[in-house]
Amino acid sequence: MNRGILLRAGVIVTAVLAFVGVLTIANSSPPKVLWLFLTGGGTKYGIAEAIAKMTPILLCALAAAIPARMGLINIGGEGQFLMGTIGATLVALVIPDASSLLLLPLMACGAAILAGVWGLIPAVLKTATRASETVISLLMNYVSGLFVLYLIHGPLKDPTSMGWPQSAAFSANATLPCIPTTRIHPVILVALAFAILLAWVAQSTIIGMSSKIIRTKPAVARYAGIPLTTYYVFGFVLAGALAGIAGFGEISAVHGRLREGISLGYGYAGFFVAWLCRNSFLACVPASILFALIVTGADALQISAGLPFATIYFVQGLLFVIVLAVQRPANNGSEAR
Amino acid sequence: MNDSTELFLLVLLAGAIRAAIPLVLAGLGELIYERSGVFNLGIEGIMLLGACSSVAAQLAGFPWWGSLCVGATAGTLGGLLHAILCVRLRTNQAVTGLALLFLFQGLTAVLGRELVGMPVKDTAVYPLSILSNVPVLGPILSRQDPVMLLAVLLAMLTWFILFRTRWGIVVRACGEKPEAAINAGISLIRVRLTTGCICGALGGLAGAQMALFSATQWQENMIAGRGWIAIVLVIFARWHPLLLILGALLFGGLNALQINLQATGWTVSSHLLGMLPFIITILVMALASWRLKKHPGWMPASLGKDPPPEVERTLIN
Repeated sequence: MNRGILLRAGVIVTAVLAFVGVLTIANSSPPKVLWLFLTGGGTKYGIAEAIAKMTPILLCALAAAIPARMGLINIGGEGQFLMGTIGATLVALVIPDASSLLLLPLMACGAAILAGVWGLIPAVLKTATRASETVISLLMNYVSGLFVLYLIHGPLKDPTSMGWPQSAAFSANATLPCIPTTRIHPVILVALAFAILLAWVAQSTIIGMSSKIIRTKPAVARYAGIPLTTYYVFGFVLAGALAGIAGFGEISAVHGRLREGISLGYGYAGFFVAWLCRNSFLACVPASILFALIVTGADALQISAGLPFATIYFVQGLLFVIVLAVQRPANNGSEAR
Repeated sequence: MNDSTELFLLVLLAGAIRAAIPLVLAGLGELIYERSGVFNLGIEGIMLLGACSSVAAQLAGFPWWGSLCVGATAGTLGGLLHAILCVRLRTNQAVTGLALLFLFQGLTAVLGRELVGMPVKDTAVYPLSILSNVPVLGPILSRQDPVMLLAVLLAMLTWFILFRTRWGIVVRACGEKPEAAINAGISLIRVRLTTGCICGALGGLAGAQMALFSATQWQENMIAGRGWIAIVLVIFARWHPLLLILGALLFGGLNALQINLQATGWTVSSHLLGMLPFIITILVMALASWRLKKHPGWMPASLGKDPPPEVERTLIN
């Protein structure tokens, strides 16, 4: 255990050094950038932002972890998140005047349903044709991104926004309340509740045990009569729904309308977090806080040092690759496509 | 057929060929690598590496073929990294590909941010322009860039090497039955590292072609999913280089149709049309995988699988 922690700490240090190296090549002043990066997440505002960002990352991590515990790779969290934003938008724009108590849960349902369908597709194709769910869910990320663009440039375009591509603003009833002076909204409770619930299911129920068998020895699972198809489909739909709820939370509490850039790569961040935690639902909670701090730092960097937001992908990818290289090949799944 | 229809079809064909080139190149790289038993989901990232580095080289004054080499080299490094991780360190192939994709996406975005939008000059090279008077195909061929020739040659070369030479048997053996390859004295690691580098080189070349000749500039994330389409095309083509060309042309034709339909004044949203390639790719993937269920022999048998224990021992040296 000690060695593991030392290793991971060493990984982070190496990643920071490499990050500095790249920044030097990219002509940004590394000390200034590092300072911004660290303090971007360190101030009171920064910490509140990090907790706010933790919610979608945690939900997307759960969305990646659920299928992963069955041996499937769901990298479609980003697309499922976006479909969630679309689902919430559609409900909010159709019945803007309904009471909050009714409207907000309906928006969440709309988000969960649309995103659930998005998760259903890779699962169905996997079970019916053995198509790689990794490739399909990733391709669907592109489709959903374009779908959002289509909607905000087309049918949902707000005529009062002076040509700016976005939907009409949500009514006050459709806006999730946040803790004052922060952007922390109730969906965080949903995320934490699901993390605990899923951890319990994984540990203490037959469903959890069966999932583990499906992941490690699918042939045995089939022989034992475990319905793999049902597990795969249900797992993916649930995963999609969770990512969709993350989308609902973000669009309702933070943005208030459908537009570009609602997702700061939460789907991919969640995928990375889930992988880092070896798909342990409970471990995803602290990991997503840590990651949210990194994302907040990168956001600050984008504004002050002019670095593109994709810097976060670089840091993420670097950490990813280094941890990959350093870990013991424990149970490297023979995930044949 | 009347003149305007003929013109439309020719324009379509030209567009199809142009769009197919990066798909063929990246697909060839992926095909060779997969034939040796490893799949690379990060090929999109490698294409980005090629694109960014080749634009940087061209803007720094390299001649077009020099920039292409730079792009291919950058891609090779990326492919080498993938191969070292997957083959030497035996990491999970799918996850490694995705991790490298993130890494290269971010890396190129950061390093390339000052190059965004700057147009590259001196890449309007048309080696086949002497053919412009050939009937029908002349106008199309005379406007094709040199990489198109390279792509066609490489595809035929790949076919020849894979299916008619000893090297090809070596590579295919590593992908079908690594135990047999090891027993025959072949170094699995060396073969897979080599094919990994080739995959990287071709992927980098594909990205370089897109950046230097098609788009003539660098934009963050400019590959926009073509790497993934190449991955699907390899499956669709049953890991056969010549069928890959066919698939890439079909796909390129679709792309060209989408662009030209917009030009004819159809008022369909460009975003909706943009979704079409991906939706079709998903359908093709589903179809190809379903066909594979009936014809499992088409796929390299050891693709993506951990090597069996007796091979593992030789890998740990």
